[in-house]
Amino acid sequence: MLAVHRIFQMIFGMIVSAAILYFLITYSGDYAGVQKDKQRADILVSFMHEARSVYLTGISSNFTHFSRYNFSSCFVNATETIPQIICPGSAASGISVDTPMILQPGSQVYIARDSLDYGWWVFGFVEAMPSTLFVFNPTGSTEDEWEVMMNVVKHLPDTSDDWSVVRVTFAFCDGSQILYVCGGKPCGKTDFLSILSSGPLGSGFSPCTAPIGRSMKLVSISGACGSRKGVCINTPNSMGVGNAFVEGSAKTYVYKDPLDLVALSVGGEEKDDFGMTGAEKIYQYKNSVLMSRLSLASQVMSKRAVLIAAESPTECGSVYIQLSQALDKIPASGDYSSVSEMNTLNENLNEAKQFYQSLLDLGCERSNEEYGL
Amino acid sequence: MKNMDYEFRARAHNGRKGQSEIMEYVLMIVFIVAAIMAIIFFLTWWNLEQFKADAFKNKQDRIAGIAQYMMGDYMFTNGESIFDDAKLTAINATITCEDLQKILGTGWYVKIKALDMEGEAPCKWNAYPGCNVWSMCGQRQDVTDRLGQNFPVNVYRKVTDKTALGIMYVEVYTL
Repeated sequence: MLAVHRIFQMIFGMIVSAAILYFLITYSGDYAGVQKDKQRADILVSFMHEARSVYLTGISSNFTHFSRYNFSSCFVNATETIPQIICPGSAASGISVDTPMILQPGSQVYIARDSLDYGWWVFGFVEAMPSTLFVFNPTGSTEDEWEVMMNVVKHLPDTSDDWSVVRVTFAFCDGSQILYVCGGKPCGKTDFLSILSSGPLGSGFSPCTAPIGRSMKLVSISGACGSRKGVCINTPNSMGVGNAFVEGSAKTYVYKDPLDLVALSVGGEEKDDFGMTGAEKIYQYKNSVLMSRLSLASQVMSKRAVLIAAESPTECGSVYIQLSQALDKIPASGDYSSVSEMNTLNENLNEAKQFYQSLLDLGCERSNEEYGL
Repeated sequence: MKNMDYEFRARAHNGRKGQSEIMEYVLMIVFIVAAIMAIIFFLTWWNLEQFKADAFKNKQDRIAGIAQYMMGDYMFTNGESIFDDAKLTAINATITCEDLQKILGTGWYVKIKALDMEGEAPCKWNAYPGCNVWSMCGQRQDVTDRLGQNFPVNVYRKVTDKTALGIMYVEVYTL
């Protein structure tokens, strides 16, 4: 027969063991979760550092740490204050982004710097994207359509470096066929640009019906987009403004610069859990950041022009004042979804660019080349 | 009588043995729990220390980030990292701290000083071009948790078309 203290030992042992086990399992579970979130946050922070370095130096780089966890849902969101990287469903979210960027997450991304040159100001940004094959489908094969493709390709990264682990490549789509026009292989940026610069091929391509893989982005250029797959771009008007459409979205996206087209093309038609396309997220963020910084830069450069006018030779002074007046027309905040407003904006930007060019021609300002750019 | 005495002694002996075994058992459990608690305390302490170290590193990163952003943004500079004195003066005259905080977040202060003049002459609108100091977002004296760093920079003097050496001081606060 068991002694009383043996029974006590058994019951007490079971209770204490169960309590310790429960505590240890809960604690190690929480600890592992916290550590995982911390590592995810560390990866995002290190990505931000890398992007900032590329933004400052212009030296492109690979970022491969995204392969450790799933970051595919992450996107940069413009907020009332500083933009943030949002990763839905993860505690590692809300990290501030001071570097303007076009981000398409993947396990390995290539980070490159690019810019929009307004003459009097340059909007610098970085692009971070995984290996992607951009498939173009110009249905009319006109000069305008070729120009649109050139504008998109020019602002995508050149991944021809030997050390790049990512390949951004290009091809055409004609009906059910993907046309690899660089010796039967996807083209690199330089080769594809040289093909585009030689002018339209043939009399246009049939609407694309070829299967489009996950790492491919279909970009159609057409006068009538209808219900095209992927992203479809209407040719622009004389002010460089036009409409673009994304498969699965009823919205019309107004574009006014090549970066709008890049944002839509890179984002693509893939939707998140809330039904928002990748194209829309990048497009909204890009325009929110660009419009706010453009507004600030125009105010600063207008004031600068007035400031310098008084200290400059007469021939420069009058142009500085004209530049200032042109810059004052740029709105503090524009509705980038309105064609008429974007027409006016581009008109004002072009006017300011011309005055700035006059200042360069007169020797009142130094060009970017003179500054070593 | 002898048998009863033997039985009492045996029971007492068994009782003491049982008590001592329970005590051993309880002591062992206490030691195990103490060891587990020690490991947990160590891990928690380690993480807290890591967070403190991270907080310091984050401040340094933030300082570098603000400096790098300003050096790379054409609203402040001409080309690669050369600050334009006319742009800086125009920023002081036009842009509010809140506008800059929308780009760079809150809790920071920047001062840029061109070293081509003796002393410090703040660059107000009417003082240009005979000035050499530009401040953004105002230094806060009421915050004790702060970290600052100096960076060597170039400042382009638009009117004289010369580039001067300068110092950029960036300070960040934990508000």
